[in-house]
Amino acid sequence: MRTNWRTAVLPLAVLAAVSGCAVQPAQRPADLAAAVITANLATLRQSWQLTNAENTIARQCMRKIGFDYLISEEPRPSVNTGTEDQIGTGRPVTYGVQPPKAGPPAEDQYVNGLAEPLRSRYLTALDGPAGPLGTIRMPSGTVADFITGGCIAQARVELYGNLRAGVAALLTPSDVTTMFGRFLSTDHDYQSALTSWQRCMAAADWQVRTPTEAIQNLRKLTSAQQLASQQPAEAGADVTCDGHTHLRDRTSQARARFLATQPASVLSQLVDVYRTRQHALAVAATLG
Amino acid sequence: MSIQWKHVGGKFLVVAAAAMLGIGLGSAGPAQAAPAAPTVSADTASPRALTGCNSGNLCFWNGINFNDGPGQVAGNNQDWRLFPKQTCPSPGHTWSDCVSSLFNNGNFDAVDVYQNINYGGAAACIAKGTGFADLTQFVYPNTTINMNDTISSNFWFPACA
Repeated sequence: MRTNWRTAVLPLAVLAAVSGCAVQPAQRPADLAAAVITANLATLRQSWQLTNAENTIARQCMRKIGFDYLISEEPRPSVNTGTEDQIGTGRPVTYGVQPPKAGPPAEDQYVNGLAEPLRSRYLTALDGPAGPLGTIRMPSGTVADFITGGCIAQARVELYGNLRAGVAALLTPSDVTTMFGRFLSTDHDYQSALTSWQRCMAAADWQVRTPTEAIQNLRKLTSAQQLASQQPAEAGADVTCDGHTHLRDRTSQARARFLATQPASVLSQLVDVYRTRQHALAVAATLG
Repeated sequence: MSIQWKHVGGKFLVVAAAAMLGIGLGSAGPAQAAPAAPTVSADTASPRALTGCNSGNLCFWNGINFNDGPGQVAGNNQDWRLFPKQTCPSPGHTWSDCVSSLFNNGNFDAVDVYQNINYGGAAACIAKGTGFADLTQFVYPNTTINMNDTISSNFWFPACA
């Protein structure tokens, strides 16, 4: 019965999401493109949801062929979470960085505990047989490679509609964000705000060049205690400094200028990623 | 035969990959024998393949297009100068500042690679099941630093942000 229910409801949910379902006003392609390369609470939560959905589908796939796939879910990003592009609204504000885990993930321990030839069969089921990789050319012109078999690839097909679209949804935001980073290095308004933000953070004893660097530095901390004390203090200073310098606002304005300089092909790829993600979120919502 | 380094319990173990990976530790096996794994067709296939790259690891090569390697790591490693590679031109002939292509063949996590040892400098996240055959094309996000011949440490995360 469960299978029948899914068979009936899933296409409707996906159709509603892809069509827009007349719930939201039409959005300009530039707005959709901007959403793909903006790291805010909404996109953070979407990524969290899609990661969990991909893992859930991969587990279903593995179970169908007699294996397990152990999932350890991260906490859903809270309203306290600030990002590179948005200040957290809850208090105490954080960057959503979780304490490091002791030891390898349960999945790795499970796989390493399998005896041959079971282990090889397991890994083939998960990653597919050794063979040619798929390739995808990204908006910057660079090329990425990806696995095309096994339950991980199958999960991406089921979640995103097809494998290529799924890989594009995973890799394109980072690729275009890198292009945007180059643009920012010559954008006067952004650089002016960034310099002011850096001075403000330094005055609070935080020597960081960008919010991204602040977050990355926290992710590297190996002490949970150090993270617990440092994260709210640094994120709190960021709130104050962003208020003084309007760095996030300047970044958002620069993003619009950046996208205005991009050829239609890049905007088109970003819009495709946006729609792919919406499709995937609709699929994820049916997983429960 | 490729050599892989496994970070287990704070120690690095050098493992002869092909010969020793079959050593099992427990009986946490599946309930039944596995039928064939699902296959998915990609609309563009690359002639490149991950020869010698074991599932579960971050694999990396001295040359572009997955040539001359792979070195492999399974855990977090803060100093790739510990991993020798004779054909690497870097001081001491180690994998630090030597990688020109890489692939995250991990089973579960994404992995950050860092420009410097101790997870320092610029960082780039590699999603599970993806990789880059030519790092000369890539810069670390939000920098102008080319990734080729610069990676010196790695750290696993649940997903790329």
